[in-house]
Amino acid sequence: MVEQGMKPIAEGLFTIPSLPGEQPRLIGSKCRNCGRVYFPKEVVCNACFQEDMEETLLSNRGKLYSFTIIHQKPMAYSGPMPYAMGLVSLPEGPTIMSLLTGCDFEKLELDMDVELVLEKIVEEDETVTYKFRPVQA
Amino acid sequence: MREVVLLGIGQHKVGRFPDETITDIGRTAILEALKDAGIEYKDIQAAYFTNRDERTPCLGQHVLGTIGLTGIPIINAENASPSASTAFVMAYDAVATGQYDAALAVGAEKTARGLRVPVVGVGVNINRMMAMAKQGFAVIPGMFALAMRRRMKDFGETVEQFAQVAVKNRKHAHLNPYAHYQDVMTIEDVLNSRLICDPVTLFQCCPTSEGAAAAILCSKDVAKRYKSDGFTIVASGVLNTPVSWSPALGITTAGLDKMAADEAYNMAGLGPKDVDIIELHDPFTASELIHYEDLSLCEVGEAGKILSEGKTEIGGEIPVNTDGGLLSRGHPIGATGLYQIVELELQLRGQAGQRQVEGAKVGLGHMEGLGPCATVIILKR
Repeated sequence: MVEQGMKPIAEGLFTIPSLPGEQPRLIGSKCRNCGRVYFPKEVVCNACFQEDMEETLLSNRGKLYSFTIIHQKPMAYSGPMPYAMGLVSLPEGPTIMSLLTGCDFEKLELDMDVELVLEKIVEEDETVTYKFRPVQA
Repeated sequence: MREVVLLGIGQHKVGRFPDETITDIGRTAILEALKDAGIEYKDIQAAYFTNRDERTPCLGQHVLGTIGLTGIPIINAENASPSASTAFVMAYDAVATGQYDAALAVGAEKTARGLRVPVVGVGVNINRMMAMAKQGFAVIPGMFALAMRRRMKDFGETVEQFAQVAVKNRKHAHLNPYAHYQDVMTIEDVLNSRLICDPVTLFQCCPTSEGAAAAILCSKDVAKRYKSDGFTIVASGVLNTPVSWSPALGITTAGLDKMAADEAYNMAGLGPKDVDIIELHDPFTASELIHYEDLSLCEVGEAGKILSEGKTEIGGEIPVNTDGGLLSRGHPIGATGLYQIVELELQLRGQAGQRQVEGAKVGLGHMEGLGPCATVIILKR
């Protein structure tokens, strides 16, 4: 899964493991004043408007809030078609948008446990992004 | 605050008009509104112009300039789908507070075909926006596919119920000669149309359309100079940005626009039971059901039920989108909110022809945008 020379799709979204067996993590921010957690990171808390945020690593497991299979290619996307996109609820609070991977579309179910992986979007490109896949039973 | 009346309305047909420029389309709506209001162009004291896709500086001056410039302020605004309803609210606020006696709100749109994408300009966080787009997130029907699937699990709504929204609004559009699409269709037609984002099919998405609509607002006292018959009163006009928006919040529950709706009911001194007809924001079938709940037409989770009971059809208890809505009248983004005002006014005057809702006295127009932003306007005869 993790290879040398991986290029993140954007800086500050996730950690890339440097040791075998290490898990990637999403990088969020947490408000020191009210405790609200954001992904991607925010500079100012959108709930209490204080500029007192700290970086926090988020759980790499969540629950699939909803999903869709996209059949019409949108702007700037050059990965395989069709593809699965979902909303994943993380235990820290945020529900985030993510590509889904690692299973047949027919096996996706609402509220199933999913886990974080780093994968390429396009096979010929070194750029990787975060995705979620169903947790193997 | 002074009482404000809706003095006149005007609209261009909705559709595709390769032989007309945006100034042609916009001028048609303005001239029709002036004639309908019985007011002279030189008596308009301010103009609020909206458009989404053109990105031409001072476009309102170009459109009004083809009639002539009279020295009045022309304010150009953009607020996603609620752009034109934002123009209406600005005109309403200016007249209500006494700044002007007569103001024009006008929206006009020319647009490209196909899947609408969020435009990325140089000023936004390009890294974040482009990273999202490269991951395939820049797909608006996908947001509503996510909502549909969650509602199906939480509330037991069915794909047939979502399709019924499109069927109902097309049935209404069949009676509206200004609508973009007017041919009736069945649930099977909707479900068998091309899959866009499972379970959203093509006919569950509004078209990208062209058109223009206009409204002239006037203080009640001054309006008597121009018309002697009854007036429609603008009972409330609310524009706000709903708080706490997130991808999961507001797509399956009545969270996003409830704040604007509650404020508008409060301002008008009216409740959902007082409303006779509604024009609401239905870019996708799921949106219409979500907004039944935002506007307090039913409890959260019961939208599918009131649809299936026929309550929101012409002939039902509270007809919704009698002109066909965004799904069939069409969605000329910079003008849509004012098309809603035109339809509500025709209904309140009893001039809606075959789609007339008998005895309609109170009408509500609702628009939502991402945003987020929302407008709710209540008109009273």
